[in-house]
Amino acid sequence: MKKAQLIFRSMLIAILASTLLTSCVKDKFDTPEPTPDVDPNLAVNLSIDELKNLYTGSSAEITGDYIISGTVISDDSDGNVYQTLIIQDSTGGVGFRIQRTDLFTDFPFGRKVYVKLKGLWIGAYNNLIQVGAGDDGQGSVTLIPAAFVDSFFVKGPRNQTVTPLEIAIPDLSSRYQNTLIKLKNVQFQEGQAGVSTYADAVNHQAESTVLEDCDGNKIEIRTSGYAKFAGTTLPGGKGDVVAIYQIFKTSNQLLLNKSSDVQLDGERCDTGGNPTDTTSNDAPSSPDPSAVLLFPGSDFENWSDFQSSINSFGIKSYATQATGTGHDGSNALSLNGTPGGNDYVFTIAASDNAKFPAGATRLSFYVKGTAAKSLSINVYSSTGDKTYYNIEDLTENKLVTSSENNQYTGTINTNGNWVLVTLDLTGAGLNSTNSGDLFALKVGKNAAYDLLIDDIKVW
Amino acid sequence: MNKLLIFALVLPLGVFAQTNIDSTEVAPIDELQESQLTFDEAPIVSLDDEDIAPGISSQLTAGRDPYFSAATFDWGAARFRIRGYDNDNFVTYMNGVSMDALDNGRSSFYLWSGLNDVLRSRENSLGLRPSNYAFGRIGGQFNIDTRASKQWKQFRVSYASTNRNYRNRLMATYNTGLMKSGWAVSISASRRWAKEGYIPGTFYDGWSYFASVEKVFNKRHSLALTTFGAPTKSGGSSGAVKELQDLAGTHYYNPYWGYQDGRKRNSRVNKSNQPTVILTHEFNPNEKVNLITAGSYTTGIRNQSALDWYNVSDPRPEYYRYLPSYLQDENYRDQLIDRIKEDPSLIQIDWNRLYQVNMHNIETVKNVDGISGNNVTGKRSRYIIEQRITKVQRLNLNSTLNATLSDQLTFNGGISYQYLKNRMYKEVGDLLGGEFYVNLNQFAERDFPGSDANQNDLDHPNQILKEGDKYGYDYDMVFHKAQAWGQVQGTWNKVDAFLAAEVSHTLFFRNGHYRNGLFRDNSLGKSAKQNFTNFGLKTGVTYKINGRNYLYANGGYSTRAPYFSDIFVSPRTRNSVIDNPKNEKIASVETGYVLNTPKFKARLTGYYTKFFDGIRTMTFYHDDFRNFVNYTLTNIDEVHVGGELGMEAKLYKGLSLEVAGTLGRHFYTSRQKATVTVDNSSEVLSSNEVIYSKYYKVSRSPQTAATIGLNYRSPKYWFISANVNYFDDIWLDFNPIRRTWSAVENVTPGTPLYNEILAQEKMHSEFTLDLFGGYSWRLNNQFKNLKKTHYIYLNVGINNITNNKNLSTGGYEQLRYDFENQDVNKFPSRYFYAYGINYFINIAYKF
Repeated sequence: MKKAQLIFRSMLIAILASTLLTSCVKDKFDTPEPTPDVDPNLAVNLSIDELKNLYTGSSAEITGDYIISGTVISDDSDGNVYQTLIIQDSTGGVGFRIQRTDLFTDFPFGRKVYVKLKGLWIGAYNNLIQVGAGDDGQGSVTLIPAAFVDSFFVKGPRNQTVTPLEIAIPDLSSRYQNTLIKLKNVQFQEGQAGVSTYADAVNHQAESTVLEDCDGNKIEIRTSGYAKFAGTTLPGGKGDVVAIYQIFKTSNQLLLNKSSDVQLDGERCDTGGNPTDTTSNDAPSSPDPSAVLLFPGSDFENWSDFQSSINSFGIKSYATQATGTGHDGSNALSLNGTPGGNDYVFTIAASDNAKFPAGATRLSFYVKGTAAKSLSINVYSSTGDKTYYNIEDLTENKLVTSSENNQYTGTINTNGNWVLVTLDLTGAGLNSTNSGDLFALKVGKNAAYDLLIDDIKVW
Repeated sequence: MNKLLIFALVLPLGVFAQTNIDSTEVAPIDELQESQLTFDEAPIVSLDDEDIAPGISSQLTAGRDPYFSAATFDWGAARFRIRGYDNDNFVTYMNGVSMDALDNGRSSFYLWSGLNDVLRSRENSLGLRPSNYAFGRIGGQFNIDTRASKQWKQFRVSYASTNRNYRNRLMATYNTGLMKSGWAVSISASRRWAKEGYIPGTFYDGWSYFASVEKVFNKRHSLALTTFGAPTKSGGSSGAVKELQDLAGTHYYNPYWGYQDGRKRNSRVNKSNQPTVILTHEFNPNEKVNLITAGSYTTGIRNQSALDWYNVSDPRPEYYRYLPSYLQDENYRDQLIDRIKEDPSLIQIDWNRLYQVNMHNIETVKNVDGISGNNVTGKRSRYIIEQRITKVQRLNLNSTLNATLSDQLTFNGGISYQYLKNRMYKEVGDLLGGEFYVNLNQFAERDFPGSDANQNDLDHPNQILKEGDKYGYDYDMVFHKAQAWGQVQGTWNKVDAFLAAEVSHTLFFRNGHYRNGLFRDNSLGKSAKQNFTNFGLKTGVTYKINGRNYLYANGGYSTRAPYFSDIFVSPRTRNSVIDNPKNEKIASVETGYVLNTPKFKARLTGYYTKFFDGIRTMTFYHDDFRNFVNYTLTNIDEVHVGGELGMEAKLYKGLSLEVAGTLGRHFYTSRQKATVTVDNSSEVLSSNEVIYSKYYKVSRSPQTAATIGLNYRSPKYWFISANVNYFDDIWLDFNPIRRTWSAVENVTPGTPLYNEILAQEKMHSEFTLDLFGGYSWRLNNQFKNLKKTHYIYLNVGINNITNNKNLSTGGYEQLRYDFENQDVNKFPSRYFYAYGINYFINIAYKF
């Protein structure tokens, strides 16, 4: 009996001991070491300038075994640079479209990068050269999928020195596109400085703001509505700005990595503008004396002239001729109703009969009345490109610059007065051919409009 | 020998273990069910419940009813739930106190998981039947008596090897039984562990302990003190979309792990350590009266880890934008598929990258703690492991009276008070190579740039966080519930009948410890108190045709308070509750026939249950509103109707046949109403939007299930059994936003697209086959000198022997919908599957 018990007890102890000894479930893990910064020293056989020369006007695959190298000058950590990695070498800069929103984690500002270009595509977005994964069918390129970034990009050492090129606004040209530049002694223009924000952070809409130097040369800063600093008020002083220089069609444009790259705390200079009229925003109160009608009937005096200018889609029923209540007692166009959709009220077909000056920079028209949403306008160029203008809030004379798409946000209330809306046509171009469209007026849906519009002119 | 025969009569088929598969998001801490072939032990079910997760089946039963035995053992692997009821329709008592948690109504099985040896004394009342210890719920009520005097005198040690959630289990128990001195002592402990469980990347590390001391003073008084706990740690797993399961080549693809240090690291580690103590006083002033008064206290922590990140790309490999199907370009898509097939770790977490990002991310945080110029520079973690912690304090007091009024009538009744405080907060668990994290809300930052809305805690702006620091949210859920019930049962010659009633009052509120930047005036401090008064009535009658044939019918109506998380719209950030929270109502009837002869037993039951006015609140990203929303569904009505059959026939000597089956129809009967608020602003986006949910199926369980089994029991102390199981009517949970007018606007009714959007997916019906065997060896036959009786038991169970890996245990449509293109495949459903072939081998030694 004793023996049997002994056998069982020792069995038990053996089981207990052996199992408990092997039962350790390890849940600690060794921590990875930081990967050291090594330069893979790939053989570079193409400069960025040479890469850009591969673009010949339409998007194309890069078939050569090319390798470029450069230093990262973009930083998407504040969300203004979006799905884009921009690198530059001593010959220039180029942007890559990549389907990732945290490129700063692997490709921080100042990191040396090699790019094996074979298989990528080169194209251009409104004249800004881009490299991506394929043809997007619209002249530019598609995003490089996140999982394939390492197939094309080879990381080099971090923290390379990047010295932005000091340059003056008039000296900027396409060869500097996608490089880091520094503008000295600039300030935000009157009306925006210390007042506006970089973009519309509430509605997440991108916006342009205007920098000027003391000679009145201007350049736009384009900022995403998703940028962390979109809602930050523009500084009011004068100083230096470091930014990525880009082009949009024929305009110069700046892209900020961070708002801290805008250091404007010096005393402002007088650019010869009209500093007392801070709210008018350089908006004319009447068309230039040289202004001409945009199309036959654009003064709405002769309704049939106007109707014959409209393209085949016709005119909405809530748009009619108002007689005797137009600007200076003339006739005008009346918009009175609640559109059910984001309607084209009318579109003007391009015509040889139009006699506007080549290189016109301003388009204006008068507005009077109220509307719960605003107006949006398309201007068409001879090559069929559309430029969008969103009038947004309108209470007084206003100068409007182009936007990326049609928006109807804002309200109109002119307090019974006629106000002049002027569109800045810089970079837009007017269709002077005999085909296609010239001008379209759009309204937002489910909002009441009660407006008079008169005298659409250009100069 | 005689005893063994009796046991054979009552032993159900499939007495072996079945394992439940992991829940939707979290691994259950343990779901082992097992039983032993011994006449002194009833089959055991020890089920654990993860109350965070919907969709875990759990049910206790005596195992003496063939139907309920099949429902709990044989169908457990398919996540079968009795009558399709959610777990809050069952309640478990232990040593005289209710063990349900007031926050979700579910019994906290995880508190005593792994203590199978001491859970053997139990009493079950299924469906609407009466019990002596509680009014109960529509699914049933269970009473486990773990007091030391109820434990068989024995020493027992066992080892089990299995390939389910864990791989090894070691268990030891010593009970004195009631000694002459009036004392009884019981102690038990177990350990269960696995470096990797059945699902890749999961691990298991659980200890359990139990001690009970009881003193029986005299015939009238006894006092028992019982304490137990189950400190457990395990790695989580999740269901996945079909694309990922196809890429991984397995239905058990688990996105929660990735390689680190050459081993699989799981991002979702579930931990629980909540010791419980119960003091039970039993008082028998005379033979006709029994009064049990008990109090319990539970305290401790549950936590679940997860990845958290700040303004960087989603680190979860299952994010839809990382999948090949997201790529438009076919070449890249095919290349990515090839790469993943070559290197499957590409669809697991890339821990190394997370570390590299953190270790290289030097940043300066300005104005730390709101102190101007207090700037901190260092490696700011962009990815961390967060711990979602629930700190629990739970008190239950209960008194139950049983009195014999006359030869025919007995009275049962009781009063109880329950208190629960859950403190909910997050902690930084692992900085993953960085030096600090910052207590900011990145979603608020996106919506309200430039303001202090992004501060999780306005009173400590820009707070720098180290490992172990609290962050994100911090609030209490506080509950009080008082309850009273009474019941009269009568027993007459031909008829048994009962009538029971209960009334309760529930009060709960939120108490915020953070002044949140989004809701500065509605986040700190106490919310309005939410009060709900409820009642229940039930009655039933059994007609005894003769000693072998019975007919019975029961019916009940009750109301219950909505749950905290359904009426608090976004408790992480604010005190807001939904408008007019209502009690849910439940009406249920059941009727049945029971046949009980020595050679043949059968029970046939029909049930019809209707739920009214259910409420459910969810938070998720809404693609149409482009925002995180709180989505409250009200007016949820359900019908559960069906039949249940269980029978057992002794065919020849030790050979018996068992058949069990159920046919249920569980569906929604109302058009639900959705109210949508923005999580970050509480702006109401849509109020009472109609969900066209009528006749959609309830997804919790296979609605059809059947088992047929053969069992042979040899007089030489061994047995073998086999059963075939069948499961059907397994429905996926549907996404309400896909059943709205706006989801099918501009789609022509009757077109294939229209039908595709509105259809509810049904999974394949499947068969499984289980085999069991066991042998018990009485050592005294070999060792004649042994004083006591010594036994060795060996039990083997092999489930799903055909290795059928296509049995879906359900799944759900993601709460996202592509409003723009109405492409239901953009956010496909996620699926769960039952384990393939799996085993459980247990060897026990007892004397």
